[in-house]
Amino acid sequence: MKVKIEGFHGTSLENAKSIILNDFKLSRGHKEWLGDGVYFFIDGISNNPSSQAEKWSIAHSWNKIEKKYSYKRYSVIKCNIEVDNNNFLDLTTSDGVEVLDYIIEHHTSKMKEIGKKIDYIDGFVINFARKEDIISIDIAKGNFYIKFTKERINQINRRTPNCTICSIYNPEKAIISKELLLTKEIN
Amino acid sequence: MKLNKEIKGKIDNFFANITAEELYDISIRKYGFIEDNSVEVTCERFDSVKVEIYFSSFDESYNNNDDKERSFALAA
Repeated sequence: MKVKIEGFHGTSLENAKSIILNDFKLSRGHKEWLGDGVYFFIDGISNNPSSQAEKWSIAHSWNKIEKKYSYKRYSVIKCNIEVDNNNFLDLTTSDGVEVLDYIIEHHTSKMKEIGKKIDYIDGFVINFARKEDIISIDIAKGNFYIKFTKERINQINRRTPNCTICSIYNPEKAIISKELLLTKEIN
Repeated sequence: MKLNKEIKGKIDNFFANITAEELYDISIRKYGFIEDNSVEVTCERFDSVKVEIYFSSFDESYNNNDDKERSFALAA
């Protein structure tokens, strides 16, 4: 069975043009989210993921060291995504969480054999499970608390998730269509 | 994705065919897993706690944990 998802990706206009003409590049180092992949805001906790993608591209532009925006013109790309349910790790459901838990349980007991303990981070575990071919994951989905401009300025750190996002590990395979939804300028 | 017989089998198979040492090595080196070096307290009961010196100024002393949290927020 195929799962269909509408995803929104916020980035600079320059990057957006390159994505439309060429393809997405995987983001690396998202250890606290869903591992290395192309990230999209999707329907779930919020029913306005396109607006979240917009807010993300603004927040992402801010350079904390130089105290200025690294780009002024930003865009949101809308994509139609399709994935086989067997390769879709949905961490907003108990089914998905059980899979991740099972991997961590095995890992933990193996580490116990040599007296080691690991501080497990979901993104690392997903990277490990995918890249070691333990299970085939094309897309993972999860609920997270993501800080946009307002939350960063006011240093609001909550645990309650405000976004549903998905990470795509093989965009050429999973993205059926893409379009530039909007382009705006940061005031 | 569901934890069905097939998925369970794949996971079981992977872990059955890797040594703990090899798994530890790839986890840390290749995937950046972080070792938890915290000390486990096995004794859950303390008979007494001995305080030798107390300075009230300690209450406002530099707190490493707070600083660590602030650094995370700035790095986000």
